[in-house]
Amino acid sequence: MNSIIDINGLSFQYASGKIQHQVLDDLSLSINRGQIVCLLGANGAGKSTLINLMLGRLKTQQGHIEIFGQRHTSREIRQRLGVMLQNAAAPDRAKVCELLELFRSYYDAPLPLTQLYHDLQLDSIREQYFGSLSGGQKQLVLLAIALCGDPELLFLDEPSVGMDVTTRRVLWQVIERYKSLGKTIMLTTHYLEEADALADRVVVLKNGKIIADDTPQGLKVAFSHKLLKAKTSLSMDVVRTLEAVINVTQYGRYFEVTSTNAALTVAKWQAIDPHIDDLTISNCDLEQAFIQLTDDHTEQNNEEKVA
Amino acid sequence: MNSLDNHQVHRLTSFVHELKLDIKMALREPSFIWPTLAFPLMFYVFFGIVFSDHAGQSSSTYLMVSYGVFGIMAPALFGFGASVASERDKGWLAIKQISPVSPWQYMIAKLINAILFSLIIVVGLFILGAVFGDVVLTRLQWLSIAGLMLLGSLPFCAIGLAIGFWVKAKSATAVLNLIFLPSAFLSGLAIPVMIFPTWLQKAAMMLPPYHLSQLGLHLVDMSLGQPIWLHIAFLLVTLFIASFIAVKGYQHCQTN
Repeated sequence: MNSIIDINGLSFQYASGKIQHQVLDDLSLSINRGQIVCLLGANGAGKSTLINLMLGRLKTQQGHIEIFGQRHTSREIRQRLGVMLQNAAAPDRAKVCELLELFRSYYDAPLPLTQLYHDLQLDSIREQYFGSLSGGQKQLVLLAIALCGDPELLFLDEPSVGMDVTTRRVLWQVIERYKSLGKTIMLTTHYLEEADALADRVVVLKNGKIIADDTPQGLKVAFSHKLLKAKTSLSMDVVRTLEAVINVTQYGRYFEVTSTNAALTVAKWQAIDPHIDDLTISNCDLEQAFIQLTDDHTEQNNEEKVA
Repeated sequence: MNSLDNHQVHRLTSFVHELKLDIKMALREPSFIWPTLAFPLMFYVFFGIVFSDHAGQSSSTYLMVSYGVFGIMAPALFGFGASVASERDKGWLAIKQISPVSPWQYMIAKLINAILFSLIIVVGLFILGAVFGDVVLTRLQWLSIAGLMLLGSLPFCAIGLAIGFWVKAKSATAVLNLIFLPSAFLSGLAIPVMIFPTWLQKAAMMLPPYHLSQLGLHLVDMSLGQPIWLHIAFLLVTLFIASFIAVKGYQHCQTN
């Protein structure tokens, strides 16, 4: 069996007073060894809850989760995991080298310190206190902590938050290196270009359900709409009514329009506004595919509720 | 057998790393280290040596014991409580909880850290008492008081731990001060409890520092004469209840 994570019929709800909020709803997912899976979804879609359930930080209410074929994250299982949590930090008065030495001591077969320093470019900050580091450097140290035990399965919950371009590049290189070593990575991110660049598989969550599960390319093809960008004197309301338009964003006179039929939209647009300017037509990227996907799903849900 | 030894050595090495880092971090926190170490010694110099010059040896002996209790309370309450609350709020505790390390390693390292600071304070008070306060005790009495103080810090460590797991970092210091200062003064650590009004003396009996100080004073024949078992039982019950609340707090942090 190649499956490393198996989730079956997982439901979870938070209770706030008398109000119950369903975060995950009958979710099933299987992740194979060597995959880089990106969990996408808007805030509150259930990504972090799912990760916390997988790590045993939340108790399952319904359904079950198996990691390495076991239902409980025992000490032996945790030896094989690396975790970078969202919004976590190390104590300010600990040095980078001290934190890594401490975490390496937790594992039976840790990575050499020199490799961690090298891979994550921490050599220059190894003697610095965690509290004195920039946001991006802190994230890299937390990633190094997650990698200390040379994990088979790595959970990265929004790892690039607070990273600048340079540190994000280091993060991407590390992930790609791990991918080449056949490790499994579960990643959540708000940066869709990150998912596009790194993931083998994208799982989109909305309202606690999986609404798409495909490769980044597959998602883009499935939502192969065109993105039109142009300057126009028309109002937002008029642009919305153009043929085949499914989404419009306005920046002053500048519009970004998603269309299911670019030729038809452009013909109608030019007919109403002959002075349309700076028109460009491009394929949707993963971000537009994601927006369409989550919007379509909302509309579909609303229609189902009305019916 | 060999692999078992290696495993034990590995766990011991890990524990030494944990303890070393915890001590280093405490030493790098001047706002923790100076008040914790300096206040009991400073108070003892003023009230136990300088101002009690005319009261003689008995006063400096009494206050050495009572300030010993005062001294061990701070590292136990603040070293545990404030640092655990801060590490919990930062998410550092969560990172440790999902790592393979046993939670006991984290807690025992903090406990030993608190006991080491307590030891420094107790030894400091002993030196001041013996050199400047004319405190004369047998070797057994010195050792018994030191042992009692270190062992007696356990209930306060448990209280600190319970607060650390349940109270947010921003409020933890305030809550701990609310426990530390009133309970220290009401237990007669600064002013002998005999001069309190009767109702306040009864209130003092409900506080752990009072019972620890009475045990200490019993060793120098200055206690109020209540049975020893009463003091030991009170401290053990405190230790048990606070540990129970702390364990529940740890489990709460693990799944929240």
